Amino acid sequence: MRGLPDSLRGEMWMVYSGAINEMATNPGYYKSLIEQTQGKTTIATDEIERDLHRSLPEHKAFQSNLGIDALRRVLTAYAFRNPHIGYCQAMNIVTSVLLLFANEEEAFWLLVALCERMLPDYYNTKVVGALVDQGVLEELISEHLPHLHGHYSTTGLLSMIALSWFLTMFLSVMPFESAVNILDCFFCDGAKVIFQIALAILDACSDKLARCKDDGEAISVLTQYVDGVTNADVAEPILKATKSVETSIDVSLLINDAYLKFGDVITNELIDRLRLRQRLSVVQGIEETTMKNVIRSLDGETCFDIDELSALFTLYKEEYQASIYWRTGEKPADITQEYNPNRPYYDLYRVDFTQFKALFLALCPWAQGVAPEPVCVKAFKLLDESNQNTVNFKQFAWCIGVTCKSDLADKLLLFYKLHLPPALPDSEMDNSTEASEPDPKDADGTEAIENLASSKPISVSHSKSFPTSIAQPRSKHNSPASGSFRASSIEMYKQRSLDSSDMCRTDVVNVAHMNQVQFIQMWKTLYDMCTGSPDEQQLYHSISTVATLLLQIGEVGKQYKSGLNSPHNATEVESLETRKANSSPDTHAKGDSVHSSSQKADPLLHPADSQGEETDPESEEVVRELERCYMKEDVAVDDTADTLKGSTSPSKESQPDPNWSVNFEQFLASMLTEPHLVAIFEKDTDIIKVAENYRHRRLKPSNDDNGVTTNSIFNK
Amino acid sequence: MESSSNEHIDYVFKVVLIGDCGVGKSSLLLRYSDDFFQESYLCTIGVDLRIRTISVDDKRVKLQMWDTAGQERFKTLCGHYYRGAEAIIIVFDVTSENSFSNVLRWYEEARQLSRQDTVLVLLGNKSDMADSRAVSTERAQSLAASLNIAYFESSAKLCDNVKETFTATTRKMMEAYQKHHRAHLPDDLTNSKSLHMSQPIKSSTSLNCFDCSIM
Repeated sequence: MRGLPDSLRGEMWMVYSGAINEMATNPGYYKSLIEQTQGKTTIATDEIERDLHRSLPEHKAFQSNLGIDALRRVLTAYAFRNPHIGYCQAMNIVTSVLLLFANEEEAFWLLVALCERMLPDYYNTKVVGALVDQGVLEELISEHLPHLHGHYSTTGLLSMIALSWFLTMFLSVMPFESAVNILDCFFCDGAKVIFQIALAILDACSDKLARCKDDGEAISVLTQYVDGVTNADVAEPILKATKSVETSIDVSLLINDAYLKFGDVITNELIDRLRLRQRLSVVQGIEETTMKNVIRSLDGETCFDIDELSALFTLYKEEYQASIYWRTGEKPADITQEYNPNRPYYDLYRVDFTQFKALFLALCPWAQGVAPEPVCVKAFKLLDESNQNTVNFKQFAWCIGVTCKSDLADKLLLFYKLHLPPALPDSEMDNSTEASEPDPKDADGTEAIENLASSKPISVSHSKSFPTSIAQPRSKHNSPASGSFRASSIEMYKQRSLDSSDMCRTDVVNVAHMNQVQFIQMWKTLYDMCTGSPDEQQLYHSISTVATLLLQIGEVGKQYKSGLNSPHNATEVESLETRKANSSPDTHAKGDSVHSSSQKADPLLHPADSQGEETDPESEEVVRELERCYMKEDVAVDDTADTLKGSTSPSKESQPDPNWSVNFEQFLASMLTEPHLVAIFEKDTDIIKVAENYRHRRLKPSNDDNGVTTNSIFNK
Repeated sequence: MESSSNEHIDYVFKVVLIGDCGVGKSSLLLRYSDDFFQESYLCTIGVDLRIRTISVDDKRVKLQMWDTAGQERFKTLCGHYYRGAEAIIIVFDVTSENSFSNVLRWYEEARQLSRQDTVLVLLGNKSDMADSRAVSTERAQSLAASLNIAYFESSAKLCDNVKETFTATTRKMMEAYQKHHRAHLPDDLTNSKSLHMSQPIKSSTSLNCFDCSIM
């Protein structure tokens, strides 16, 4: 009750806290930390610097450089030792007191004991430990001081006030010589002491507190009481109070009270148990706040509303956490990053490619086809603006937002951009992307073609082989829509793209032209996207029609560029365009040729190497039939056929025509001529549903259905 | 203090001071409530409260002034103290560019967590340190203008313009209160506790407990 004698205090603290052992087993550790931190400036050191003179300013020891320098060294060394905590206000106050009774190295080890064992997580970047103990105190109040709890439970005020008691162990609120006595008990008996004292204080004030009408008064009552805890054993107060305070109680009496009333009932075991229980809800609360902040920071930056962003972020965060937890090899780039309070909220969690892939494949409507990986790679490269090999939530949400629910032109623009640098870097153009695709994907591809040929209902086997695509809601009305409706909506889009919004305009102007190789890549992606879709055949046909059209446009543009035939080519493009647009309804009518010509895109887009996979007789027959049909059409579109053939033959692919190019407006206009393709892009995706499905699947990794997905989530 | 236990009080207003660490929030409050200045002041952990009762335009106003911790990691803790505040004063240090550039973050924080009619004020402190000044009055004024809030400059050390700032803020709170009160007259009684708190207090008998324990 009397407190330890000053001369022995430091030593006793060292013994009680166990710091003495750690210091003995790590000789030279503190010194080497000091050497390493010398001259380094971080956010933590800036914060420390600002608070050095606000730690125990009234004490003589910290009015000279000697004390200040020691304080700086201890705090900096600790921030360096434990970057998860860095520097938290309140540590400065505690450390200054430790320095008064122990030497520098001892103070350092006492601080280690406090931060890492006795007050776990108190000072980390979210002050989780202190929040947990607030909850624990709240619980203890409800049990031991029920009348107070009834009065203040709604506001959480009492635990709010107690926050500074806990964080500084009363050092910042009580006269110094009194608080030090409590610190003695704390080192000796553990964390339960702070709770016992806190309850004793609340108990002593309970009558007054019960009469308070608002938070302000309650705070005043407690502040006054705590301020008036004096120590009769100290003749002359070490620190002079700034104003005269009435004595409320002697510290030895307070400690006595606390031990008498709460000594038996509040044990360290109880505290540990309550802490464990509180922790979950505290962490959950923090997560919710973070989510709110993240979502708020993205206000207006994406196509999603708040609910959609919440659903997306929850998944994103889960993926982020799960991969950190399960990954044994390299850690995600993000985890080691230093805590920086100035990072925008949406930048708090950066995912690397593996994490990104799992999410993208599950959520992006464009990644539901047979070979989604290339799109994923491209999207990641496009989003990773800073080339850190990580993507933040803003970038991710923007991308998914555009693909899910922006308007057609924006979706197509993103799709177009995915096939330009930086999404499609030069290096990738030479190596066919097929090479990077894992084998199972190819097998899946074959299966899909099989299904298609035998014209079974696709959805059954489809869901079996591609669990990711279940996530996409397939609305029925999207299949064969009435022609007139489609036509009118296309007219609308045409109109829109002509006198479209300013933003779209400027974007379009800035988008680079696309060369032949990029174009072929883009068509490959488009083809893959459509494979497995219910109206696959129709789509194949549309794809080839637009491809032909664009290849012609590019060809004409090439001639124009090389000056062979300047002005009248432009009109030719237009006439071609109208011719094509007029001819497409015709082809729709012919059932047989629809089937075959739609497949024509296959040899075009899967040059040479994919042939090996498609050895089953049925699909081979299909391919041959296509080729015949394809030749027939060639006659009609004469010189385009050369271009088409050129792009099909692998030998020519490595030497692309350097002059050929199309721009985004041409791409957009051509796409609009094909209602089936328009439908694919026009279709919005309900991200909330998709996210729900994805989580549902992830939580029940029951059978083989989920093989692919589970693999990608829980990264091996 | 100025208020005695059976004094008539017209308004009780809650004022919250926010801003980066070390810009002088505590010093401003200490100066205003106790007319006292300390070169170095213990950094605020959690929240602190000071109370002063003043007269503005013949009305007695009790100000509950909440001092908050500036360090980022305490931000989430203080969040729920913004709620119910009649005024939030965003303080920065005119000698610190950094504290000025963070004003926007604090502003957004305050806007998100406060009510529609909460008075926001920007306050540049340490105006006495002309030599190391980093943020000109004009810049601060134009920022405040762009946020559509009032700007004041003060020195807690020299006791310059501190009182004026609080008085002007109080006047704004009274205006806002009257406007809000008129607009929401019907559902006033069902409204939140904070609004209840700021209702003019008619009977002085209820004041005994209201002022029971201040200083």
